Amino acid sequence: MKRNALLLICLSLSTVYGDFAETCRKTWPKVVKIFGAGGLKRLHAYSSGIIVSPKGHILTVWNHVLETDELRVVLDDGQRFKASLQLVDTELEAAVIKIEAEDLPFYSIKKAPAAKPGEWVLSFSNAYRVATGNEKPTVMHGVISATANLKARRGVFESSYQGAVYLIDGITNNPGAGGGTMTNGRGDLIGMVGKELKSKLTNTWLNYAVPAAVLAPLVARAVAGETSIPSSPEITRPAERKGTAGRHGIVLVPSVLRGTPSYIDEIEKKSPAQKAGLQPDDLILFIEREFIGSCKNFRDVISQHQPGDKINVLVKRKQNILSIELELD
Amino acid sequence: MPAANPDVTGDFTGSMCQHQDQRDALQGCESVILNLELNTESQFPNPESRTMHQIIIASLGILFPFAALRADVSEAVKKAEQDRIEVIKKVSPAVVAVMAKGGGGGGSGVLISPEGYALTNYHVTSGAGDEMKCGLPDGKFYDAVIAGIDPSGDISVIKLRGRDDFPSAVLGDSDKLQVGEWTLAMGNPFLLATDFTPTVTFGIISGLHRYQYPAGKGLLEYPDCIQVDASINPGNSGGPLFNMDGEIIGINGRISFEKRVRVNSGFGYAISSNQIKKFLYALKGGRVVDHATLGATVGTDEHGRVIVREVLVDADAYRRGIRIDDEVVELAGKKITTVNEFKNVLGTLPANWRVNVVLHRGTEKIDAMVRLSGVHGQNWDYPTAGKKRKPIPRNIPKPNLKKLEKGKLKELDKGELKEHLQKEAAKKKNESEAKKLVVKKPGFSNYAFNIKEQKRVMEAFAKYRTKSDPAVAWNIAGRAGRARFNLQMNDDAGTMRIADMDFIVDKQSLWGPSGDDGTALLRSLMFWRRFLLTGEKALQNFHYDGRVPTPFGECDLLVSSKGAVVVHWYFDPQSGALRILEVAFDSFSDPYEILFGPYRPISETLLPSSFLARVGDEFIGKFSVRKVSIKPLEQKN
Repeated sequence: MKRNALLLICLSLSTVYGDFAETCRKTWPKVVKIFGAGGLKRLHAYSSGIIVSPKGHILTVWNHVLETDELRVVLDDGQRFKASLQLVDTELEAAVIKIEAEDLPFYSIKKAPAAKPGEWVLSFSNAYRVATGNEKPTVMHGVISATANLKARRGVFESSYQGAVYLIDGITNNPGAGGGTMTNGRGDLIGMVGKELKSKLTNTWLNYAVPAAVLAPLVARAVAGETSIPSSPEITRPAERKGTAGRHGIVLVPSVLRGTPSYIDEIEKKSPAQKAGLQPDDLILFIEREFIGSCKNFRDVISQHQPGDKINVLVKRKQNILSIELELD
Repeated sequence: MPAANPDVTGDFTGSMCQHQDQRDALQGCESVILNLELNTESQFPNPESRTMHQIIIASLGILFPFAALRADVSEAVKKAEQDRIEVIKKVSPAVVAVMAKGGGGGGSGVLISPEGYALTNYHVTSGAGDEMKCGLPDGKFYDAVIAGIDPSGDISVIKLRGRDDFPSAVLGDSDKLQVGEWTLAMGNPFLLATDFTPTVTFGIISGLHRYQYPAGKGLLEYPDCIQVDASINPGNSGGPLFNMDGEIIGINGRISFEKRVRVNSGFGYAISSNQIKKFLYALKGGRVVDHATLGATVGTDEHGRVIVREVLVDADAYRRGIRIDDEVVELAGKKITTVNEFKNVLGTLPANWRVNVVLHRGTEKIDAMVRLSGVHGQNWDYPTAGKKRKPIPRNIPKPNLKKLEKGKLKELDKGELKEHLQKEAAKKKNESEAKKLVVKKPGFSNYAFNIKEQKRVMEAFAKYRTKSDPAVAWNIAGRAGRARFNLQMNDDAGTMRIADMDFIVDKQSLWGPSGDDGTALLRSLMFWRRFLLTGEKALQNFHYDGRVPTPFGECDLLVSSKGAVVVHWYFDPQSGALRILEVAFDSFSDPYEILFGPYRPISETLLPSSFLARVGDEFIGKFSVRKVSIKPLEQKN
């Protein structure tokens, strides 16, 4: 054990001086900048990708940026390509996009080594869109702090991927960094920079990468020619719950305006709302004879009810008005 | 084009004493490791214990293997660490904590000379005003005054007072940096160090030649800057970025954070040392310096080439032959392949510098030596908001003087009074001294420093000055190519004969618009004679304008003018000799230039043995001086 750790440290620290510059030069040609949908307030329209085949398969994160027909990829030498979405794994929150190119420098993800805590890592990404055209992607250094399962609690981290990740002590996961390359000090691919995750409890951002081994099967399927695209990235927002109020499991549509109507967007599994038979697209009209005009109203009214309360919810489903009994947890 | 817009990639305002920053700082300090697996309220009932746990566990997770195996760590690693410790020891004494008087805010800085010149950010000094307090790692406070400012480039030069043996660091060559190289950022983030020992953060160069948009009109633009992943936080502004040799390679001033809080995001930007060097002498001379524009705009054509889109007709770029659709391939010695590169290179250059531009027009390659225009318009003024800031009054108890007067005085009170009076007197003396140290004048942030630089250049030039009666005329004879030339001149009038051509200048035409080349040359030499005799009084508005590149290498530049006539005097910094005299008779045509050859004792005076005259790209002639006599001007009928 001690010898292993020593070996690890010697290997990783042998790259302390000078070697990173060479690693950077080796890595840049395999990292791409991706430009797509977004641009609205706080929604960046750019992300990063890793070239995983000589024919232009690019591994990246599955997020709103890919939701466009105008997807663009810029190589490190400034060459621009139109890209198309080929394969999406919503659970991994990863996607493979494709550009029409030949003989690209690429990473063979099958051969990617595993990495261990204490190892130096470098991340290469298009974060903050600092580099464009032929400008080189941002390089950041760090050490793997831990490998752990991303057992993200719903409501703490909005992530559907719950598997193993490398946690990094550097701030590698900035806006647009998702899909970037995580290498070890020698420049071997070890993983993909994950999408931005913020803890709602502590307001801090998580810096992590999804290990290459986890992503390799997705890449293999894509290179073999498989295509599969969901209609849109799965929205998984938690149901709101205030203080000691009862749990209901109703997720309304995002309240973008003051008067956003109180339509149900999602129903949490095994929740009181599911038991009661409430469904997505139901419009909540009344709770206990109190009129619900908007998402905000719903929140105000529902939060007054305690666990164990049985409340009457009047909803409009298509052309029907239904009265539903909801018992809060 | 990097699209980080000024709204979201903010600069630090340096006002980091505020609570918001402290709150932000605390937020940023939280460990992410634990948020993941250990993040439950019950485990950490109060924030302090949570922080403690985080520190302990993070330390165990990251440091334990290193610490436990320290004895086994290879020699190379130990040496690297020891080298780093040595570098930090070497440069730390030069790192400055810059504070506004009265505690209104602050930032960092770095000393670059034993006399006390230090670099910091403009956005640090603009908040502090003309005078500030500087803490050094020796634990002492020093008074400092503003010298020069670069509002566009976000740099200020300040001068610390009270010593002539300040510890200082040297400026390195930022063009030699490589991405992936290790760097040290030093400064006083969050004003942590009450004894002013700087905080050191360690990281790599994340990117080079980055462009960060201005944060206001012509303000705080970061062209060709250095991106680092070393932690840069509020209060780091103005502090140095060192390479591992302990040379200053940049001044940290900006971070990207967008929707995140205004603390380190791993995206710090530093103004490159090579950009700073170009402005440094003018900044030490108390100037408000200006950055360059080409006088032409560029864009990308369908082949991805950088081509000229527009040229201003009265800009030097036009006179030097730059035309629409020319392809720009090189600017100031740097290859240009994208518009971004062009903006990067141009943004680091000072206004009025002459740089080489290489253009392609069809199959033709054109070299043009272009004098750059400025960014600031004629009535441009730098923001002065910071100067209006009132110092926060400190609640310092003072001895009750009334009580003292009434004779109810105890021994202790006497001592207090004496001390108080001494302090007050010292303060007043200090204030009046400081007042003398700041002299306001349009175009200068502190003209007092300009006078100092003028004196330096003029003292070095003194041995070339002629000590003769100004009323006595000069007669210079020699050869211009194959022809003979002979000229006579006094203060206001002169005649010159070249071959069989005569040129005459009288009191009126001396200050008039540019005429033919002959009279322009004669007038230029008359200004030269005046300068040799009367120095700074030869013309008006005399000032120092930094060190600029010339065909003879870098020269100190003095400028004077009278009416529409503007004269630039270029001095060799080593010998002190006047190398080039450049006379602009108006603002829209090429100036006349006289390039002086080696100086020799002629007629008991050190004078140039030859000179070249040229205007624009046109060569007028080479003049070799054979005989100089100083005698009354011959009267002509």
